[in-house]
Amino acid sequence: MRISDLLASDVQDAGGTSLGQVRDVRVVQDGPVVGGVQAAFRVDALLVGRGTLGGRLGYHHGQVQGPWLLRMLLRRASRTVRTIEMTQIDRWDDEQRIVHLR
Amino acid sequence: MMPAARVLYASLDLLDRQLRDRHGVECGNVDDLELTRHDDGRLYVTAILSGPGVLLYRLGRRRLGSWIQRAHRRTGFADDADHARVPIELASTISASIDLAIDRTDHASFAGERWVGDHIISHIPGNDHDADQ
Repeated sequence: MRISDLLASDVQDAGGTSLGQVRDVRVVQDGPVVGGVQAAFRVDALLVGRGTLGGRLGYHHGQVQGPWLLRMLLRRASRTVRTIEMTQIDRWDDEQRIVHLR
Repeated sequence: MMPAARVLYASLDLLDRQLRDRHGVECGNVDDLELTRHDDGRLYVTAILSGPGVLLYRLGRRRLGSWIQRAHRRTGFADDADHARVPIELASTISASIDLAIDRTDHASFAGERWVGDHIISHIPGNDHDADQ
């Protein structure tokens, strides 16, 4: 499977309500060492919500903080994006491209 | 106290980043990432995907992108290896660009350049020496 399949997926809660689309995928380099070279990147969480300019610029990820004017303007949109940990996911229907939460 | 593991975001930090080979020569962009589920049930990024058709697949033209990838795999290189797939452990540096521990001649994006060299440039008179020779 590819990360583009995951990025195109809709996320639904246990009741079937759509929470939005996967906008980004957080990976953490804490997996087993591969090739004797470096630790693997583990898929850790999904950023779900509306696609916004702030997301594409990195304001939803907590990494970009400035300039303050842009941050103020984009703060409202950031509140529509939520982080879904992988432990909250029940299953991923990769044919329908739907991520079902527990 | 254990140092915190590196955290990246696929769309923000990895996708569309410039790839450079072991000599620093540009050799394409990160078009997609391969995910593999391990025995522990967790998903891991196992490869960088880059080359003809891969970006088309990511942009929603999945059937056409997959066809181009298959066709390129059959005609681009003499072996059966998937040169559009670079195992993630060969990404030595991940920053503004991603440095790979491969030669660009081993990468899928080089196949087109080689085809042009073999079928067009090689037929141009004077192609075998510099202009000032």
